[in-house]
Amino acid sequence: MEKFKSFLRHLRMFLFKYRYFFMKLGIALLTLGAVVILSFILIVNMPGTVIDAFAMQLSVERRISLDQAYILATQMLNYDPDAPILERFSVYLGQLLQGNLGVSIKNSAKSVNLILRELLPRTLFVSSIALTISFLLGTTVGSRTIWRRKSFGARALDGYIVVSNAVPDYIVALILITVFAFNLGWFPNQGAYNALLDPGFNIIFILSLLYFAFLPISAHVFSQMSFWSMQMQGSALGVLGEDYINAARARGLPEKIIIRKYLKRNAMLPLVTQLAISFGVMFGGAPLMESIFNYPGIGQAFSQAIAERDYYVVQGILLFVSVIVIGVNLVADTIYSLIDPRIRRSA
Amino acid sequence: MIRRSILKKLLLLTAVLSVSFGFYSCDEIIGGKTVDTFYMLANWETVGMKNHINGGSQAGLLNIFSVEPLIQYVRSTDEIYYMLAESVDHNDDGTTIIHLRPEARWHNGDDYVAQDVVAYYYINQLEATNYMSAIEAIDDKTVKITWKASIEPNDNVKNLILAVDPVGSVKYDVFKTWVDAIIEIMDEAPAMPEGYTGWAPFGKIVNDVQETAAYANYAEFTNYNPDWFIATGPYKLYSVNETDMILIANEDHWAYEYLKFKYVHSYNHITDPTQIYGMLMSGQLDYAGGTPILDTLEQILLANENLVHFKTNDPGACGLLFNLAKTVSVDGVRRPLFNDKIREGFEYIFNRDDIAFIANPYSKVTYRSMMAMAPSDAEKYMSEEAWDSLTVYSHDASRAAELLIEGGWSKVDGWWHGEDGEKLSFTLHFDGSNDHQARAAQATAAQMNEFGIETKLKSSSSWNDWFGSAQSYVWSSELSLTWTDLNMSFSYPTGSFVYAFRDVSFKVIHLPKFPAFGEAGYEEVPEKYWGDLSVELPTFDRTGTFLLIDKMQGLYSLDDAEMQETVDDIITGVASQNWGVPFYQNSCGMFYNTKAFTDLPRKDLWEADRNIEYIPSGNEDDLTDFYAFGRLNIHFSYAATLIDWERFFENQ
Repeated sequence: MEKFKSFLRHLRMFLFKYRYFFMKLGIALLTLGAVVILSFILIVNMPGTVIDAFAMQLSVERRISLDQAYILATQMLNYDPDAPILERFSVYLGQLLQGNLGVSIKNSAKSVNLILRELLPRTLFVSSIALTISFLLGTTVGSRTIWRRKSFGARALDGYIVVSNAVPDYIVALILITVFAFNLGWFPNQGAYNALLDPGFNIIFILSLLYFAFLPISAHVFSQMSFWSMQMQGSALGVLGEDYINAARARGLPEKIIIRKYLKRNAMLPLVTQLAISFGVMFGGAPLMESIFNYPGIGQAFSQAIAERDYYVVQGILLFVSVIVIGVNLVADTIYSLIDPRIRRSA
Repeated sequence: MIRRSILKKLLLLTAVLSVSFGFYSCDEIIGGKTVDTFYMLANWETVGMKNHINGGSQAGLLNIFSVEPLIQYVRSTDEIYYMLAESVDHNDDGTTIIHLRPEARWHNGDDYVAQDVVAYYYINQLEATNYMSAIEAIDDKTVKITWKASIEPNDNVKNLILAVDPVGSVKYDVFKTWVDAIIEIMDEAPAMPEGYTGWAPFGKIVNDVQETAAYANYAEFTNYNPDWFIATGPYKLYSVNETDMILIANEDHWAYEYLKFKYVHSYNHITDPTQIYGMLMSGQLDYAGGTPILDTLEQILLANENLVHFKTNDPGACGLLFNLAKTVSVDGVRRPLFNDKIREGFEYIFNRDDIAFIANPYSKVTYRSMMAMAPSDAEKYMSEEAWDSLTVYSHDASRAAELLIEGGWSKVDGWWHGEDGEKLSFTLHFDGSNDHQARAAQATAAQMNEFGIETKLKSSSSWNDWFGSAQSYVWSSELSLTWTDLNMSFSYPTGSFVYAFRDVSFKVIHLPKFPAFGEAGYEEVPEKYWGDLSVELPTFDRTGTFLLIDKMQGLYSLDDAEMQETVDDIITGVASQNWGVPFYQNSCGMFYNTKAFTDLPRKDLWEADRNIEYIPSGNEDDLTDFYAFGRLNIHFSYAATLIDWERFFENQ
């Protein structure tokens, strides 16, 4: 009995100690539940139902009556839209719990899991390199321009940041592809690697991957860098007036050291959450950018699925990205609370 | 300090330039064009492409150059080439003997045999099987088809029917489980009653249980994914990834020595016109379909001196279709929104020349009403007397206004009002994925607004989406801009009527139908009409009327004289109804690279002007150009485009 009471006491203490984490975990799970329900409702409420759309296609392609096509569609999709909604939801949930995110309406060999397995590495390859470069460049430029904000160079960079932040990323992509792919012919306008190469871990293939990814990465970097610069400028402005900056100056520390160790490090703290969200969103790819460069990633698959009304693929990718964003936010919140104990205590 | 930083930057710049030079000089890394390869665009599944075309996945070039029919027909010209079939004999006893090429093989090296033909028709059961009462393998290389006596097509149509299906896509050994299952189901199904003209593949009518079993079997068949791409055609898969597909000439193929290229390379899912034009201008493509607006077309040709632009006849006309299901309430009584006078009035509203020029400057303007057949085909298949009898309308706003007023509409403050006195406001719905129709829709709406009929545009992202909405009684708009007359398959006159009255147009127009089984009043209608169109039209000689559905049945069985009489009756009858206002007969455009494709026809024309404006219509005395141009459209003639037929026939 004593042991049990002691266990309960320790459990209570454990829960109290980590209440912030458990609260965040609870919110994340609730959000996840809402996302699952919403993604199911999305399909249920599609105008005309998925079966209707598929039956229409079969009817036209196979020249059979709509009634015949409807039966065939139901058979091929193994989905009965007339079944009670709870029954359909339980089937959907059962599939999700088995790790099956959905299968294309039109092609049974095309599952969301397969799309993620094949295309996610490509999206992450481009997006992670672009995010890393743009974050490092952007925060460096942001902190330096705010430090020397009256110099000519800083003002010029400010101008660039403001303008490039206002230019949509697809415009940058179109300019790059027109100039460097079509006009100069320096880089390919489409693809992920030379189609004649066998994919493998060898230097030629890796260089080919980098070569084909150069323009998409550049477009991402050009458009994202200004965002990080602005974020950094906003954050660094608040840090500039802090006593420890003045103290560092008074101690005669070199400017580089002050910027790197005092200004940048402290100003970067609020950017962690933003970086985590960007990391999560990265998993969804960039539909427009990938379509412009015809780069085979999640974003392109997502936009194709929307164009083809392949609702199950749309639903599966949306759900996957939502889960990643929720998960990454949870991790970011946890890390943030570890870095700054005030947040944890305020909970 | 400063010098060291400059030195660092110089070193970095040198490294970047060295790597860039390394990239640029290494073909293996950067890829690029190779000789003896034909470059074009196609769409296939980025992931999950199945290894057979009946599986429901997009197969890109494989669908075009790898899968063969028995006979290849060229859509728009009806020219035919024997592919898997070496010869076809149509006998007087209602049978056809197909002799397969002795050297026809699957891509895995196995012989292509008669049982494979039987397997294809049994498992897919498409249109052709409705005309067959039996199909059997006589020996490995001979197939016998017995046609249904009640609807036996004439010999010309038999060839075309056999040319529609990609028969070299079902290998019996591979799909044996499902082929045997469907053969068993069909064997057990009862034979159709004598004289029955409805849907009955191989003369059998399956019951509900057999139908459900057949569909489940078909679903399993489509879901199966073999480990190699099932095909027999002249090109086979060499390499494929998400964005590039490369085919290589098939050394086992009967036409291997006559193939124009060793490789065909295509890029996947590039649908943005800007990107396609960029690729054409930079020389990355040897072929691309489409006719851009005039300025862009000239800009592309200017940027790449190796390109020429051909145009071919498209057996389809575009314009307005009325939705006859729309009504208006006048004194509590529902009356049709578009009555006869109103529809006739619409024929005079438009400046069709302007719409045609905006949509496709190389289209052919038409001022006749909807005929259910493209004008060039109608002129070919109708008697001269009937063709000349068709009303030729004009752009005449005052005549249009007179007719609209006669129809019960009125114009108040510059805007037309309906019979109920309310201001008219229409939605013009079109398929936004079709460039020329999208442009035509904008021009049409502008002219309607200018005329005083308020018109808004509604675009769908695909033809399927447009059709799904346009045929609905709930979601459809008052007007559609689409194909008013179109032949989707072979150009034999029946194809157009099938599109209009069995597949598409009648659903969009919402033409009246007889009650289907179980619906109110069905017992008063003969069984053969249940659920069919109940449209009655005047005969060409205006001495009587006929039921459209009566003329539609048995079209393939008519001889030439009967066919002309039927075509005259249907077209003049349809045109008298003003169900639609066609604006132009479309033309299909194609860019070709003269350096890659060295035997393009009419060099005299494209040496003078690379934007070739000459479009053979098929009504010329010499049809050489008509056939040669038609063959250039890869999506109309498939692998036949890449075979040097002249040399092939010389050596036979």
